[in-house]
Amino acid sequence: MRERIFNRMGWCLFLALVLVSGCSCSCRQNPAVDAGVAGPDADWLAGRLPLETGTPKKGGTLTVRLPLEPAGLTRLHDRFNEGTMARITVGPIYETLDALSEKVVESDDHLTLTITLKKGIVFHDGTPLTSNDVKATLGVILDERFPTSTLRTSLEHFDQLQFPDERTVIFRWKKPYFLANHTLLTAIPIMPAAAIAGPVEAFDTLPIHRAPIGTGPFKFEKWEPGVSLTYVRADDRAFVDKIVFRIVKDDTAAMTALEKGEFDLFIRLTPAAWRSIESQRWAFTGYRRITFAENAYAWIGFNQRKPLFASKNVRRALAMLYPSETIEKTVDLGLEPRTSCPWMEGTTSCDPSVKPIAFDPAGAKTLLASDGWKDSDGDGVLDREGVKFSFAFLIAAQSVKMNKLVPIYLDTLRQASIDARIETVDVSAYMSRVRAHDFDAMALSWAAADSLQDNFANFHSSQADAGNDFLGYANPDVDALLERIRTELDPTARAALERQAHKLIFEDQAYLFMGRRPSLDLAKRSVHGLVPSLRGYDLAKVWLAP
Amino acid sequence: MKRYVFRRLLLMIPTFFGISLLTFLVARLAPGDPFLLDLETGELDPEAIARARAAQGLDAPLPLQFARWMFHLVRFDFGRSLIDQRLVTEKIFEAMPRTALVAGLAMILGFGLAIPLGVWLSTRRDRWGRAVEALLLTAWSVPSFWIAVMALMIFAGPRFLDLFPVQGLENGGFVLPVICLAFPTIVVATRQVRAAMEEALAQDYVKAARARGIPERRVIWKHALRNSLLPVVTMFGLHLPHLVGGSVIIERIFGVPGMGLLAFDSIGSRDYPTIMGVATVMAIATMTSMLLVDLAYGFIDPRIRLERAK
Repeated sequence: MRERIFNRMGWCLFLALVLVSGCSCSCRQNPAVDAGVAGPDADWLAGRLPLETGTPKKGGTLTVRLPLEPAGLTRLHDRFNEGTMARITVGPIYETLDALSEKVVESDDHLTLTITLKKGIVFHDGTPLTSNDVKATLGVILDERFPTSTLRTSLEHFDQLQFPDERTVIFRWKKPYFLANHTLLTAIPIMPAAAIAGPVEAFDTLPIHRAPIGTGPFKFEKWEPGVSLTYVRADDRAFVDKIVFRIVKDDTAAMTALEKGEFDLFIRLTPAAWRSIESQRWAFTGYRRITFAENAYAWIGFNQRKPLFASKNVRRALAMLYPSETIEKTVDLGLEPRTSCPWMEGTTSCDPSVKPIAFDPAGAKTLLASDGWKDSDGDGVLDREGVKFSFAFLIAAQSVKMNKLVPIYLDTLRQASIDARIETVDVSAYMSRVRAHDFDAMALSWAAADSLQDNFANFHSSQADAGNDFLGYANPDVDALLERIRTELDPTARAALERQAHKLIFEDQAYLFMGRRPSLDLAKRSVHGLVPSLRGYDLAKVWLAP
Repeated sequence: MKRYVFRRLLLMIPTFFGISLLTFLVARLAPGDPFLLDLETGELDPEAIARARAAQGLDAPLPLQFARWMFHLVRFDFGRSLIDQRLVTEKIFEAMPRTALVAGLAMILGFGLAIPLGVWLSTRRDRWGRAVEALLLTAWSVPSFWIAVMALMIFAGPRFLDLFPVQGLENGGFVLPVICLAFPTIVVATRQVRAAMEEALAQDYVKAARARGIPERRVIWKHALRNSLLPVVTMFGLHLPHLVGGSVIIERIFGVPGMGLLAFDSIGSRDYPTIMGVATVMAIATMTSMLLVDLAYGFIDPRIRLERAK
């Protein structure tokens, strides 16, 4: 008898453990959640922000989740210049010339830009902003001895700088480039001259890299490595008193903290988390769901330096074998619409008549056969002139998405008698091999913080050795178009060229274009003034009200 | 004794050299490049990368780089991180106290519970004893990340108990990482103590003590336990490096920026100076703890002391 009771106790304990581990019910509701609330409305599900009606109020602390810790807080240094860092510094702390200028005059030939700086702007350390600070910032960028090549490449046609007085800066370009003035005005944060002065050797360790001094609406307060970054309101331009960027690397922990209400703003949920919160009351009663298009897309690339992938028929057949519907349902969870365009979808740069290639295994087989690929020896693998259609798909071990997607894709390839296998390496080795062109197939995403973009580095044949044309894609017609795009300053004429390039790039199947990643964010209902943009939210406009 | 310690200290030098060389080679020969990591930066300027490599001394032949590393090490200079340009020593001293706190408390909790539990189990051959054993075995087979995630959801999540903060060590936040880190120690040390105690309790001196009428509690806790402590001391010594090594999973889930995360992140980003710095600290901690364990053997077991004296 005792033994039976004991056994039952053991089973109960086991079942309790299983229930606890699998339980997704609200055993204890978030205090913020009201009882008897209906399900999410259509706006919430669609991720649309309602129109703001209230009056902005000052005060409060905005807590934002950071999934990664930035290496430094400056765009100047190559080692620190990455997307997350740029979003949290340029705007809140640093301002670019478009915000610092009272007047910008462009010459008729677009080669000269005269900027008059606003009066009375001071850095957070109390020093006034003058043209000398612009000179120092650009001096560091243009001097090849400094590790600032990322920004330098965007100013490659720079000719000369003049500083007639303390508030005037005159830039002169050698030749027209459609992004030159735009980059100069919107991408380069202006830093105080005294803080970036010094020898080249000392540049890596300048205090300003970790404690930024800008002119923006927030000033840097502290950085606790691995824990948080804190900014405080610098003046009346901002509403919230403080912004705390909490560094939470682990997604499970971040979601638990979100459910507890520890974040006011949570940027870039995973598609799985985005879907899972649809049935969570704490989410739709306590938070607003926000989604908007980003200029980002994922693609699969086949190394066109290898004879196997040299033919565009083969690449087209491989695209026909991409099970887009299955992947959209099971991996992208319906959140990443398929694209065919390397420019921002929905803009005039993309040709709307170019549609993604549909899943068509029979068509792929025919196309491969027309290129000579047949299973001549009956071993279940296509071959041509004694060469098997066999390759390895390189993936980074840390890529959750690719570790789900690639096995599904390779399964359809195998069904089409293509011997494709996965080669998994860590992200560092992955990047090195991609840069060294040591792969058969791989996948990457491109993201731009602007709708204006130059695809020269990604698709021009001159970029095949050291640039971003990792696949060795080369088409003289595309090269010519990309060169013309760079010098075409009329937006309408440039868009027409971009549409032509889009069509050619797609016809060549330079990439197997996958989906476009949207921004998937959550903000507490008490957070107001959020305006989605490709550069992130303007945190100065955010205000808090219960 | 002094001679023995001196000899052991001398032996640590070539051992340390070997560990350093091995770590250096593994780190440097592994595929990957810290300067090619970030594709977001857009166009890469090969000349700029070459200059950056040269500035860090990474353009020199490997033997020369290793010699430089050893030369700087003698002056306790681990160099600067290739990623954030901070001093490696600064990063280590920032991370180590957090790891030491969590791992230290976990060791105290782990061994503090394991010793009495092991002793208790060695004296209980009934169902309850077997049930606890089975529970320990089950717990041992559960992956630590699962335990950590469950602990986070149950004890820190808002759906269940919501007793602790989700991240960090403040406001009692250290409790969950300490418990999760102590968990495997409790399981393994308990089984070690139980096995050693069972062996000791079967010895003649224990039988003799009982025959002399010494109370059972004294027989167990004084006579048998002292002789069962050797394997526990070994295990304790093996755990000492955890004080500076940390645990990647626990530190990541509970947001403790300690040595485990520092090592993990530096390996992932091929931050060679930080990898070498962390490995050096770990090597020193491991060798020191092994020496301390050997010395402790002598104090616990007089036979070993006599053997060394010979």
